[in-house]
Amino acid sequence: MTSLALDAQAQAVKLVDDAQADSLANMFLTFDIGSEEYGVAISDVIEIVGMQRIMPIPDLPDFLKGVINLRGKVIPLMDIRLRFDMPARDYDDRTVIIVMEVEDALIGLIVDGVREVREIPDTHIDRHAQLGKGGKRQVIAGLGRLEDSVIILLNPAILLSDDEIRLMQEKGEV
Amino acid sequence: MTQSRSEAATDTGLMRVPSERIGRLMDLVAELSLSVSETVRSPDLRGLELSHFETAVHRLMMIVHEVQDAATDMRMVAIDEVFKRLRRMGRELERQTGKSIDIQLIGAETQIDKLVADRLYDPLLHVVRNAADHGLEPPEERAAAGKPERGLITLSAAQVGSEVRIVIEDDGRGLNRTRILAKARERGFFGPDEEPEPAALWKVIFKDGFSTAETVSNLSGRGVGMDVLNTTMLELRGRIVVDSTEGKGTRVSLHIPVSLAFLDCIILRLAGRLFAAPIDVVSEILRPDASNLAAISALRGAEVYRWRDGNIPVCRLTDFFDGMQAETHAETQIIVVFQTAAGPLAVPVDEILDRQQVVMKPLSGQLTRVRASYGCALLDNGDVALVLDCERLTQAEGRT
Repeated sequence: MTSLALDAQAQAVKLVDDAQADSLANMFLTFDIGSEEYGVAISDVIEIVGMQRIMPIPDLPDFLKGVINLRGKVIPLMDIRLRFDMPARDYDDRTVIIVMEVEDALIGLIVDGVREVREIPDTHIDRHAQLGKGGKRQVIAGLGRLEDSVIILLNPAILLSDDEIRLMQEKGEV
Repeated sequence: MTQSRSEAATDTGLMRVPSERIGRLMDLVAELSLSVSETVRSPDLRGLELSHFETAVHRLMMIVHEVQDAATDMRMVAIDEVFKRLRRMGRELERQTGKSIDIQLIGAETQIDKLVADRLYDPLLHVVRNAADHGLEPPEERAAAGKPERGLITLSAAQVGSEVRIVIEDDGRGLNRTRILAKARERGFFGPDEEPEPAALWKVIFKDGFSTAETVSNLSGRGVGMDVLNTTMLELRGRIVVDSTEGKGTRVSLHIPVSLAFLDCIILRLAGRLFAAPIDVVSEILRPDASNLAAISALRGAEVYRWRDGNIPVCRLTDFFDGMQAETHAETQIIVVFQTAAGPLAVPVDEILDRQQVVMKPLSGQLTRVRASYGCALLDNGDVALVLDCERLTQAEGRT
């Protein structure tokens, strides 16, 4: 089990290394959440690590599972499933943590598994798709169209912003 | 060859090193100390008889400790530089206030973390300005009160345990209780009939936007200055104590930890979570006698504990923090009594694990949501504990 997790991690690290050889613009690291494929800009990604012991911290919303100590750095973890109100799922050897730097702070996203690094040209990203109610800045930065699939591109700053979270919680309560 | 000789000739024994380089060293030392602990406690070694190894480990740990201390020392500077900058401001203050001011420095050789020293100037300047502007009286008024015409502001620093205490004292008119109390009541800090203790009342002058100066001068500003003081002190894990005697002067003491990087803590466990409490604030650790614990229904079930000669408030972290459930019963718990500015506070915990020098990491990003904490402590086994800010445990009402 450990070796599998390490494999997943090693593979993911290789993906990022390969991507760094090319230009980072328009490169997205994609990952699975359930049957959907999500993506974040590779330039925001610091590293990908396998699941490790999570230490719970009080006073945080449910989707922030606690912190890990990654070589002396304390990194809070956000479970993307819980953040999007999706059913929780046990972590397994595919589960990885994508460590990102968002607005000068580190955050680890817990995802079902990483898939690959993809280049999505601007012309293939629908940025102004009318998703939900318009007007506000949205957690979805755009939808990437590739022949075989649609990739949901996340806006990490909004993913972490309090306004967005509050709104989500209010909706949940109604 | 000739060059090295000339270098030796001008060698003063001092070296300029960029602070980032020392910061990098500190980070590495912290990582070193964590990885040594990780290696030594490796599960692979479990059950093995390793007497030579144990001796070597003991030596290694001692050395790591010494390296840690040496690295911490390297970042220490005398507070002198900050004090002298403030004294130079004296002339400027005289010009702006039209008062005669002497600034006296005591204990300027006191050592303090460079990172702390760099952040002290602004908040100290605000306290000094406030003293010059509101504390000291104009020369005529001083003469009438039988004081020397020149006002005196004394800046002093001294190390007390692991804290540096910086005191800014003036010999001016002191704080006006009537005026400050009226204003504090108006702002809703105290009830209309409440007569707060002086120490509690003086504290309000540091609250956000609180200023009783009838005419807002360009010196002390519009109550913004004190906020700089509050914010910085919070970030430096410091405390502010104000004392004043009408007609005699005001004394503001800032109590600041000597170093921000390492913190001497006791490690506590409660409901499966780890907490660290700075050793300086721990008064006593005791196994409570259940009969000494009482819940008061009139205060919505708030608990008190009989300690020494009085009853002290009890703060249950499981109630204070969101997302924690109490697991054990009070009978098996241990009570830690913390010394806070608001008096002693009893905090029940499941277990006391250890006392150690922890590496502190400030809370950033999503972790800033956590209340009543200075940061995360990295323990020598790699665990992370939340460092409690006991002052804020007493202030908040708990979960809302």
